Amino acid sequence: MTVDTRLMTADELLRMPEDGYRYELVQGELRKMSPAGEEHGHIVHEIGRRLGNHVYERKLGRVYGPDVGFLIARDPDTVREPDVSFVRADRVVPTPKYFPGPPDLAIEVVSPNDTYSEVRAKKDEYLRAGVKAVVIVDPPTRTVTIHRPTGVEEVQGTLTLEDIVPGWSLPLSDIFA
Amino acid sequence: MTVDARLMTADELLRLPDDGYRYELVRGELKRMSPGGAKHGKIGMRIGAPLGTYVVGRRLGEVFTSETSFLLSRNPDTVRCPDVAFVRTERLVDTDAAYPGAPDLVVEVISPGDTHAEVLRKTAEYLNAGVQAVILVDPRRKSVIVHRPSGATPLDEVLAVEDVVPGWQIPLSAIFE
Repeated sequence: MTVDTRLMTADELLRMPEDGYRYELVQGELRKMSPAGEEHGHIVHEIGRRLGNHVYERKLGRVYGPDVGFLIARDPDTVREPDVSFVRADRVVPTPKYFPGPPDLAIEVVSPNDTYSEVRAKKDEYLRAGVKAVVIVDPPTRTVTIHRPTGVEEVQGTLTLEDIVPGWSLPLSDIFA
Repeated sequence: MTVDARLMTADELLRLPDDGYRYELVRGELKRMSPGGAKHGKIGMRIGAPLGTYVVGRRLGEVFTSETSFLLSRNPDTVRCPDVAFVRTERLVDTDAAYPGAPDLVVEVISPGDTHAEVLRKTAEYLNAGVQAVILVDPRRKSVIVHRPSGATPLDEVLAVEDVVPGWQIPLSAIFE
């Protein structure tokens, strides 16, 4: 039997000197994230902007962009940065550290080179951690799927998440211009 | 407007000299298939072999191995080679050419490098061509999800597609262990 190299913790990741890259931690292992393409960035920003407007006007909670870490599992630590996320008001924890738990909603916009297994493994992790819904947006095929612990649903026409963000809707034609 | 390079037809694909590679045709464009890894082939057989035994024994239809071409759509032609395919008895066609149409059931085993977009696109193509159920098997996550025109269903313990192959089932443990 071999001895594992020592795993990194969320606190160590937070204290890591800035080197221009973003990182996630997956069960204690550091993963460098490659910079995204233009289309990815545009869609992420547009979803975040539309969701943010709705959420902040109604004081439903907080919306985060792709630079916020969520500590979704400990020992070994997993820190993920969803492209867009939402935490409802009663769960918000203001902290200079990573958010200590899962968001209520995680939205991932798939990049052209992301593999099926990676995307789906991340989705599995979020749901196991307690995220209520994971939305996967796939620009090349213009498909959006909502994954919940109870199953999966393909969005037709307009994205709504009535159980998590009441009243919000986003026509897919607005993001897949 | 630019003029497209001439597209290839299914007949031309069939007559292509053997160069040791297998090819698919996606809307007239030739796509070289990379050889699958050992795990990929093993998992395909663990589903295809028991499925074949079951359907042939009950004269429900035939099961085809992964080098079989299916002409899913014409003009431009799309020819796909599913990892495992089932055609029910009434629809069987005895031909040396590509099977002229879609199978009733397709099993695709995900390879580590398969991108999310490519898997989604292929699944949609099969369903649009008339496949009743597309079974996506992800060996790395030990997960199985069945896509039908009506939606997707993740399977937890047993692989069964009662609407396509009545009575047939195998435990997921028999696929992944």
